[in-house]
Amino acid sequence: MTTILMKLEWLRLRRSLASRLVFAVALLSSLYAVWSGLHWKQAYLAGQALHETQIEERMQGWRTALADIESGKAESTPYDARPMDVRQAASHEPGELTHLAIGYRDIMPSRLTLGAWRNEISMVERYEFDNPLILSLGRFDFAFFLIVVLPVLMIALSFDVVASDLTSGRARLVLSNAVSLRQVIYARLLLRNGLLCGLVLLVLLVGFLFAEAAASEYLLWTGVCMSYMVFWFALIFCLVAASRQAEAVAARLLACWLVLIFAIPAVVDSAVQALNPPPSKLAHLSVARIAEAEAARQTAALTEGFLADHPDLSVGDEEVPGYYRGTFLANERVREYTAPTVADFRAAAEAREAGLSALQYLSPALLAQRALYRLAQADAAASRHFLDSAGTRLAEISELVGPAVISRNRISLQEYDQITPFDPETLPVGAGAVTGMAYLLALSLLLALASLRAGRNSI
Amino acid sequence: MIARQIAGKDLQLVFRNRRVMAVFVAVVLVMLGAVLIGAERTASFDRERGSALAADREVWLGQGARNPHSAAHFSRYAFKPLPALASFDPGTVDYAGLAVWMEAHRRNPATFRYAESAGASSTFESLSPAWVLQALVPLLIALALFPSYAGEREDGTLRQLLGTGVTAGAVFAGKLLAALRLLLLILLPLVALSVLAVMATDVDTHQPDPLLRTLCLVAVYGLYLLSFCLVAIGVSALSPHRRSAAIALFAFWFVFVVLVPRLAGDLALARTPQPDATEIANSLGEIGMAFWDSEELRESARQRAMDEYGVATVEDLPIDYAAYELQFSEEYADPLYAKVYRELNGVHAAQERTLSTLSIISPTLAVARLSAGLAGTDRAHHLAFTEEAELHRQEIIKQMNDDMMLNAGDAGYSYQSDPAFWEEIADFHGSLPPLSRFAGRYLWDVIALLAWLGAAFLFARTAVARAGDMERVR
Repeated sequence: MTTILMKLEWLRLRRSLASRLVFAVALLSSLYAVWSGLHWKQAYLAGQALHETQIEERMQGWRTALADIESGKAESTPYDARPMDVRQAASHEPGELTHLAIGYRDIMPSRLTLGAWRNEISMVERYEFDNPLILSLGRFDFAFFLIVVLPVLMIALSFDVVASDLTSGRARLVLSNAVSLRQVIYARLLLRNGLLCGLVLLVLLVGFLFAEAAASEYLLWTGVCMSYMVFWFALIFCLVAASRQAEAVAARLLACWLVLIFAIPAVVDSAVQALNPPPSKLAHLSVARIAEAEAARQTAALTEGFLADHPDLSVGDEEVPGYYRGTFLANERVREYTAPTVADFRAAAEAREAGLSALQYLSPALLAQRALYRLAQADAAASRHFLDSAGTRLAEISELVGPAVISRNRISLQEYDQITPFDPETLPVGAGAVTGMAYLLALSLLLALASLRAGRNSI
Repeated sequence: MIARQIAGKDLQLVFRNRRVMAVFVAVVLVMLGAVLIGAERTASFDRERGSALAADREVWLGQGARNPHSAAHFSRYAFKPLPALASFDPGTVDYAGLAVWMEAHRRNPATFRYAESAGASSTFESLSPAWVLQALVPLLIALALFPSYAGEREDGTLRQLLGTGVTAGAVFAGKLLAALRLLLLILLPLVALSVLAVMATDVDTHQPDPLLRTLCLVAVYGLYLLSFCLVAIGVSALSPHRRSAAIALFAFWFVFVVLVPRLAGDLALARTPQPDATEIANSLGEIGMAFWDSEELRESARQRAMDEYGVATVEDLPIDYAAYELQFSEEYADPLYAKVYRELNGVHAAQERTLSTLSIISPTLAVARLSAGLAGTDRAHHLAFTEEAELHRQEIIKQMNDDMMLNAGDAGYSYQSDPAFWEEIADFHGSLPPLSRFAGRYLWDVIALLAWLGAAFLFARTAVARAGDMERVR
């Protein structure tokens, strides 16, 4: 009987202009979302490649000069192949699936230059050239389509399945067969939403074609998407089964959509920020400037102290400009002084993260978004991890070149070649996604159970 | 007379509807939350700005004897002043930088964007009074007005009403009057809350013409919400049932308030792509080095200096030539920097023109731009800040170069300014520009909004006339 119901539903779907419109909107907007994400990723990667190439070319020249000086082919000068000029590009590589969820990637710094001339503030290359209005509007990526648009399309396709049958008298005809109304609703909703979600999953597969992620990442992405769809299906089924009035069903479903997708996330965001405000970046800047100014005043004393701590160092070329060591010492001082504020930033961010992790269960949309952003490495935590790793590498480079800078010597070619490319480990992505999926599926199960009860009472 | 009676009855029905009243109370509560959060946030930004300004001044004055060019590299920061109205509509505040480093040789963009450290999610809107008025109140209007005609038709009272000889025009006037009263009732507490919050927001910088801006904001939101009322009446008049009216109005809201603004940003970027940050940074870097890399330019600087002072060689100059060259390089670079930023501004303006064009499709886009503009938190006001900071940068760098040029003697870069000299370098306080400076900029959005209102009125009028005809035929 279910097969017959499905076939009947298929015929009705094909004949309904509104349904075809919903499918067309789903197809076009999801494809656009994938295209838009790919377009963004292409531009992002091109910019990163330019930044890396520039620094690599510069360092190749630096290395050649050092090799020539070491081999005696060229004379030593105060400016050539100085350790102060060792630099390395650090780029926040996009995840394989970032084109599906851009998340924070379009506002966070992603290109850094690491070297002794820089400190943790100045290592970030100038990037604030975007139009702030466009940034504030956000991107139409696949995650936005899935989380915000798809539920509306599911609601549009489903809200009147009972009412339309009752008003047309078709329900009486169908129920005269050996089938319950719940079976009819289930079959109709399943076919409508199954086709819609199947179409969206097909577009998702198209999006996957442009990635080279691990199988587990594809599975987790698909899993989160499907469990979010299952949640909305269960919610729709629950509310459709509970009432025979399309108007009431639509009103309730749309209220749920509004509350779950906009109201709760907006309130949660505001509450988490109010409870854990980020430390002032301007205060952080002030501390860094105090450190710089102090270092500028005390360059001589700091140099003496450094040399006293490293008695093995012999002073090299006195012609090397004094501002080399001055800047190096200032940056060291900045790192030392700003360590507490950096720790405060980290603590506040972690507290916000913990708050969001706890409150995300109030909204499946927030839960799904966080899981997808994490899988795409497009969340705030991924950016923080990148900046922290870059800060660590900056300290390593400073440690390597520091003695040579202060003593006005050079580092050897061998020492330089020991610097490995910057390739930080990515944050683990699985745990949050699996928990999110489990929670969404459990919620769906509860809704299904509730719908059984509601169905008994109302149908 | 009859119109008043219809309006009174319609309002009574709205007040009796518990669902509408519950949503109204919820919207007021959300507004209250948004107002409190907005006021606290703006005041906190301003406190941070005040502390940073004081710290910057202290560090600057306490740097001791130092070479002025070294000090010019360290230089000072310009911190963006925030208007009190930012607590109503933060506009682009979170996504535009809060400070500009006014260093020698470089014109930097504004840095430290609040959105980077806030951790807010980028898919969902952040709570602000402006967002409540732009997104939630239209939904409340749709909820209150969808049964306006469709309900009467479904209950058979519309036919009765028209049967008593009341004209379709009189019914429309009644419905419109009800919508206007409803709008007033919705707006009054929300506007009162917003005005109180703005008045209570404690910020240092005075915003010019606050009353004009507030009145314009009330007018803009009034027109915007009125057009939603008219659309709701029109849709209700064309719908056979309450159900279809409600669904159509929700679809309208979803498309025009949620979907189009999000797509508009993407389309604006697709039409006018954002230049890559590394390329812009490279251009700025090249400008900074252009003078020093060009022997021809350096020669022309030497020639100009000798001509100005009437001497035959650089050595004969009564000033420190290194400092003269520093200032020459600044003056050479300034127009080139201005050109780069002008081009970037041109790109952003083109992106915003696309948004303006699309505001013909979605009034929410027009209202969002107008609202941020009137609050003083849009990109134009941000641009005014960065340009003011640039002028200040040019002034203070010249002061430091002049000090070295006139006082260094033979000491050159070894010359150190007296610590008292740092007092002469003025702080950047920044000012908030008056609305008249940007009046032309928002013209298109005003036209779009008025066009929307006109179209909504015509739609409602036509729909109502058609509804009247249909009822008579039945």
